[in-house]
Amino acid sequence: MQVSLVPLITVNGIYPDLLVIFLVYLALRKGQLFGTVAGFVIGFFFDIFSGSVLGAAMFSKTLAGFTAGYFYNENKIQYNLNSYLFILIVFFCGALDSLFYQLLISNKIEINFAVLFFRQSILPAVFTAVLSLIWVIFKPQRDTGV
Amino acid sequence: MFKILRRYLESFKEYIVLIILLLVSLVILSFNQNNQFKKIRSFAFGNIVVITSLVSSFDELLSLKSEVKKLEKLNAELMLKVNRLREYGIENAELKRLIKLKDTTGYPLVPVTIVSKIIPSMPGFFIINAGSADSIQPGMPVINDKGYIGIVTETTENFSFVKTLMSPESRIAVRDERSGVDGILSFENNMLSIKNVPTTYDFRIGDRIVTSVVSTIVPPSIPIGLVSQKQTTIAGLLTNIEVYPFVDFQKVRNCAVLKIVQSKELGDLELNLLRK
Repeated sequence: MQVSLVPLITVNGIYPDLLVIFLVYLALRKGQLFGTVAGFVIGFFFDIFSGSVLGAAMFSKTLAGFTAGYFYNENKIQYNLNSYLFILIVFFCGALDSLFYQLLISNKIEINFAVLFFRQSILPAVFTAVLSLIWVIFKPQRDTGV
Repeated sequence: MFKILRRYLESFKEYIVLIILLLVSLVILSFNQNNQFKKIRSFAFGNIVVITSLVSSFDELLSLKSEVKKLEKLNAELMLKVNRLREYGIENAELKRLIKLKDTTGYPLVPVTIVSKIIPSMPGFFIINAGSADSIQPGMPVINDKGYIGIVTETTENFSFVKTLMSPESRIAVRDERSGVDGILSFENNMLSIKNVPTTYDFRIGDRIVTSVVSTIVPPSIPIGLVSQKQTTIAGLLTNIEVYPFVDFQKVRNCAVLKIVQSKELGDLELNLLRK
């Protein structure tokens, strides 16, 4: 889905990362360790199927899963998944994921860090966070979480 | 001792797992050029492209009506142009016979369709629906009626990657058609530019930029774009030339692969860097 469908909703080369939303969801539901391993596995499959540099998404998504896991609280699973905190976590993890991913796949020596940070990290993260808002609003009610 | 170690591992297991997984990722990163890895990647990617092409065809269906109208108009315009060109062609053949010039314009073309324009992980790359089964090889240039699009970098059986002008990795030797000055065109900061050209070189705004004769990958004189801006660097000795491409990379859908690859001999002297 990320490789085939997401390109259709790309705006000026900025694309959302649905995998990050899924990863944050998993980490907030199952914990940090699970999030870290899930990030690694998701990243592996993304690298394989996207034809990109193998290992780059594995690295960045492992880090994103680990970071999302920091917000895991077994007493607040429902609150974390249903509140706007979820969007903030998605934004933060998305930015981190995009930043490290771009740093690893970019083969240029002279990287303008400000451009890289804003265009390749913050903007995709904003896009991803906006999509996660849809998830928060229209989340199936029967999903009780705990 | 064992208990202490176990407790220690228990309390830091998340960090330990994180470090191990990050190290594994970095090790895999360093093996990217390994042939086995490349084979696995090509195989998996070849499969996913089939799905991508299906999604793309669905998307195409939605925009087909307006496309047909546009094409009909274009067809009529082209018919007029063809008539004019036919006359020029006859005249040209006559003139060439007079000066005994060899015709080098008859390159074999393979019409292809772009199945995926945006590969999130590879900005500036397209995927086309022709591969090694259609005799497409890495190094073949891709063009359309407007001009140069890119170059084939990798092929699977039925699909190929095209590194377009809009790829940050793209470098191509170009020439100012009016003045005949050469330069290297690259894509940086979301624009096509010829960097660090001596200010004495004759580039003017509005000049047509075409592929250069010094290029060993692309045939000469394929249109690329127009000079849109000139920026002189602080020292005043060098100028950066911005080029606006003829091809609309957002809208382009159908194109053609030029079935030529540079000879080995020329490859040793190449100025365009064909790098994956």
